[in-house]
Amino acid sequence: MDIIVCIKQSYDVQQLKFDPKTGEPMLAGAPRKMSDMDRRALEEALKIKENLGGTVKTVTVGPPESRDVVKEIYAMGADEAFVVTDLKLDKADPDLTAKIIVETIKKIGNFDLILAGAASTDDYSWQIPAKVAALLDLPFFPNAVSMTVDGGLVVESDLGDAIYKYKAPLPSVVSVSLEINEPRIPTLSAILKASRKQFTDFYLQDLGLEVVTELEVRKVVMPKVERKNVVVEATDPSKMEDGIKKILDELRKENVI
Amino acid sequence: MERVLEYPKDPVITFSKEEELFRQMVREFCEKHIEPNWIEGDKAAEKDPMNNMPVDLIKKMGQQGLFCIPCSEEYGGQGGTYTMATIATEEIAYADPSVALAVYALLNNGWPFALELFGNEEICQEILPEVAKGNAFFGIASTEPQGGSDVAGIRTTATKKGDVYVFNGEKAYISGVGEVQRLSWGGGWFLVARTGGPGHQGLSAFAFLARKNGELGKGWNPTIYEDIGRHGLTTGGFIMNDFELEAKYLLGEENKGFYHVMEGFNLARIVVAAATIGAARWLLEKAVEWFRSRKLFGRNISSFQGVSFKFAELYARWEAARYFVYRASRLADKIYMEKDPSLNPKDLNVPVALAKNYGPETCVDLAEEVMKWYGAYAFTKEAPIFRAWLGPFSYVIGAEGAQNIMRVIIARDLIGKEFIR
Repeated sequence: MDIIVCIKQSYDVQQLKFDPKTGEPMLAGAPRKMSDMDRRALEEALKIKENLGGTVKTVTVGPPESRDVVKEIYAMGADEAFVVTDLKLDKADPDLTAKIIVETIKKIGNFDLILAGAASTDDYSWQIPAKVAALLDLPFFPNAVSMTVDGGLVVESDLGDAIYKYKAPLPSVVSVSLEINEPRIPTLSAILKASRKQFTDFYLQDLGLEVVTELEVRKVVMPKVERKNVVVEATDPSKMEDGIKKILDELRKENVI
Repeated sequence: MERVLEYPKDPVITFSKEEELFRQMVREFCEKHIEPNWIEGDKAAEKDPMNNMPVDLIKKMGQQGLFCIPCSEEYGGQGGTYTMATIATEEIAYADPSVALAVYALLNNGWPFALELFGNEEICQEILPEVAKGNAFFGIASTEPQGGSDVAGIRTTATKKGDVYVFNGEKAYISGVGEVQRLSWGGGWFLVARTGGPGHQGLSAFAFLARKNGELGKGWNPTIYEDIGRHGLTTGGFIMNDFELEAKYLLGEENKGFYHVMEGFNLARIVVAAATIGAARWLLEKAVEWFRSRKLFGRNISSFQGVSFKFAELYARWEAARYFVYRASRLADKIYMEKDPSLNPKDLNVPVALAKNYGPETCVDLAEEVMKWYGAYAFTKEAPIFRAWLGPFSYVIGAEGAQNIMRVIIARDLIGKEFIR
């Protein structure tokens, strides 16, 4: 089975620092890593390849730093990586990113299945896999928590209210959730071998595209979480019951109990 | 996982993209398999050193490629640099600051690499893949009951009889005596014994396999000690009564073992120091966490300069220790990986002695201060800090070379041998 996996090199949000005055993330030089759900999509593809044979190719779209993710992609075991970079792609909107992914997939050629993380670790738009499916006119199965391919594709999708089990045709686009698997951690020997492997580097002009974004991002700020600081005085042991009642009332008001 | 202290951005000691990715992968492995379990593991092994050795974890670490990192791929190694072994050791010790697992890892990186330097192809092919997979242990056995620092005074004899060497004597305070018995394949040590006359020129080095393919050698009688810290990796001793070892296990040249083991010690000491800077980083983070939450007299305790200045001093020592460690490992890369003709193994003497001297002492001094900042809570076994004090303390006492021997090496090489006698 030939599988294409969409992989983003996201900001490592856990290590991201925010400007204390403006609340904006300090992105210059911020560490990046493979997006968590995309990593699980790659793991799922590699497991399918290990069982059924075939190839695993990857598509990455982003600013030039995105090329760094290729080492990890190869270290995990993918066969071939395709990267489309442009300085302006750091601010690409989901429509444009999906278009670039689709044009790259067309260049790659035949495939049986497209996998992607349901959302990226940083922008978290949840839109790319669906848009890719729509542009390719393929069926889309979102948020997979489990999938099997031998004897036909079966996807279990977590749609919020319940887990739906689908018999899916091939080719399809499947987006995977964090729960689907525990991705492998590459060994040093795999990392070293990966660093010697070549990848295909596309520029937007190779795909006949340019950065035209209709979406304007005005501001990205850390949400302010104000503490309520409710203090219940209960220094007199005989009035402890009242104090407990007040705490319970406060918690009920917040709908937490 | 969010880190309390950002790893220093350092334009002097720099890492390649592969090394950065490797550090990230080791961290991920440790967050998953080591950090959540080390305290319980240390407690359990404290009660029963032989039966609480984390064999499964060692196997997992082997599968992850955390042993034999600098060894050749043809022997099952990772084909990495010595700096990569240093990075792995630092991160494992950060995740298990009792350093039990870091010591297991550092021994099974440093000494297998020394084995590859001096061993013939047949024995490298036999031993190294098993060590790499986590099926066998390979450490160092030089210390004897009469002392460890006086290597030239070793009394264990290895007498050649036909195709075998026959060993008689006793080794003491040896790491891995339990692991050799418990791991599926077995293993042994880079062992130094007397094959010639008195003094350092009568010593030879061997790949001494107490157990191989699951079978114990005859005439090997082990004992396990109860350690005060670093539980989870056993320390013990063994008596050799006419223990026979095939001659192919001789490492390097006969009667040149003193020089071979000194080269091995230089390599192992780099990763020893790496373990202590990893544990020290954990201690620094524990201190910062505590400073941000602990209030006395209505103020954070770090608002008292008696506390914050001491923290600043110890942080400076940590950065210096880190520099010594990576400077030494980069030098080892140049000597052994890049084969830089302008350098030779002796060039490691002073840089390594500085790292081994400075790292463990910084870590233990830091642990003592952090425990004082934590107050009485740190004196209970509920608080984990003491575990990061007792484990690294083994290296201040003298494991892998006493602290004063490090000072001797520095003084000897800088002042001149004849001027320090």
